[in-house]
Amino acid sequence: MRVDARALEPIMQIYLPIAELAVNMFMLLGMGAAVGFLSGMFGVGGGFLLTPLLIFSGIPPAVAVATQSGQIVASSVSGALAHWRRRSIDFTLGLYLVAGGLVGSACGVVLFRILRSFGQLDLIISVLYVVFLGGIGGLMLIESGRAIFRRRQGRPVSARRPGQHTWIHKLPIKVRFKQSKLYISVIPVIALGALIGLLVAIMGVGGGFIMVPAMIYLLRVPTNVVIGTSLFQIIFVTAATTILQSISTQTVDALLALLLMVGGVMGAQFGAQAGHKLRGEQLRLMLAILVLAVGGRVFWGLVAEPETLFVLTTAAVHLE
Amino acid sequence: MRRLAAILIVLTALPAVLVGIAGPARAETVVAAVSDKIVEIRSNFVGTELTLFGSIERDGATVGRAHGYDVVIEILGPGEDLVVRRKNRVMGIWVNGAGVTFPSAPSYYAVLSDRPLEDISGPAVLRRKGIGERFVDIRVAGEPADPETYRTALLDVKESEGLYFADPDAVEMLTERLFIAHIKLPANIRTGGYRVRVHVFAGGALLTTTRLGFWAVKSGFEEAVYDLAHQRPLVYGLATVIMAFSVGWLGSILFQRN
Repeated sequence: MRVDARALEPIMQIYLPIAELAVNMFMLLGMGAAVGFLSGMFGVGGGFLLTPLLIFSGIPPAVAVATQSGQIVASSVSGALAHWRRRSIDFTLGLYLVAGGLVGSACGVVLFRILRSFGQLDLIISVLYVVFLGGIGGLMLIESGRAIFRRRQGRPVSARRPGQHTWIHKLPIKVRFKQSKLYISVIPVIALGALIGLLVAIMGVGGGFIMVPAMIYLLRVPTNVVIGTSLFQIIFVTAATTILQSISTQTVDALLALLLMVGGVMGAQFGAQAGHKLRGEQLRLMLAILVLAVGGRVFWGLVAEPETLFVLTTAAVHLE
Repeated sequence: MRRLAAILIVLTALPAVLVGIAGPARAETVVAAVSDKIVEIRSNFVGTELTLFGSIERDGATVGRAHGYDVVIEILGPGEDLVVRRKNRVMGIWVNGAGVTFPSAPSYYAVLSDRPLEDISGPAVLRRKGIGERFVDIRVAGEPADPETYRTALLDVKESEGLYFADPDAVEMLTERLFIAHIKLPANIRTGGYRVRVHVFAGGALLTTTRLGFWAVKSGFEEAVYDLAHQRPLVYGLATVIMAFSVGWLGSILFQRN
């Protein structure tokens, strides 16, 4: 039996109440699932992929970024529950990170609003994406490339030596984090949390791709609690950002978020299974290439000659 | 007090007097109605089409029109303050320049007619009445340099979004005096009041105009979500977060392995 695709179109189209446009429902579910698959496979939130994808597919950047924070809550809850069952969350460390994150997120939402009123929000979002994706992707590419090269040569992949100290460990106001077996200053912890909060609000990402390396390399948090604690912080910071964006900019589209969440949570399960079949450095190399590809696409959008030299934005709507 | 009353009487009588003077040559009137007074935007909204019916009424004294009538229908969506920015290349990156604001510009503007507008009447009449994309009342705020470029850019972007358009085939003259028109509303229309102006032309001159309107409103689930987001943003934000927690929790139960 043949089904006319056009006859199905009205059923597949769904009108988003806040974005105020009709989009293909299965495209959104599929996008959520595809990104969820990758995020499950690589153990990352996937916000850095989904937000640009939404913007490329015509969702206004302000709606994409604000809505994305809601979708990250869902995917992080799924992940964090699994870590909670395994007792691999350092709640004390998590709470300090959340405290910093809330401050950062509040500043980010205010900044978001100011940039939007100047018409420069899209530019800042794009530039931040290029800088962070380019930087992190580049570092990961080098690191995983070296690891693969070493393995090829038969040398063991060197593990990080514990007990190394940096300037970070000389800062004052030290607190003992029992589960992480750490005695460090809360200043870098809160600062890291605040940076992540800022990124959540402005870029529509969870920030795990910065948080995880920063916790491992700067704070020297043991690897087994890093992911769980990072997810714990991301849940509360993205949840707070969702609420703040709802109040401040009213650009959170709950229906769009729901479609992405459902797709994402399902996709993540299959991604996690696929991820177990690959070695760590192979996964990191693939993720690095993916991160660089997204960064490159955003960069191209910044430098390529635009189709039209003019952009139109709505400053205010008059309800008559 | 008496003088005021006298002025009021004169003012009230003035239109009647004017109509009386113009009467013999301008006796046509037009009546029109749209198929729906309210367009409901629901989750399955993919745009819609309204039908407008109209009739050109004449009285006994009306002179015959050698070339028949032309009908031009304008539909203006709710106003919005639009900002047009030109992109400039700064260090290899395309950056938005300072904006030019068009306060209360129509969010939607359609000009429907029975034949191309330029064949119906001359630019002098159209300009005076503000009919057509070239002349419609979209005013720039302040005195920026080169406002026409920005106005043209606004029209271009709106056209590419399908929100501004001219359709010279949309009005069908059923008889010499009866007409029907189809008003296309795409999925990305704004909610609010839509103004409709129906103009009747003959021999290039505007004979009569009537105004009507309809509303585009979000309805059902869409309305509930939109209203909650704007009227109780805190509740809306909390509800979104609770939904996210539930979906995440459900996902972890449904797919729990081991």
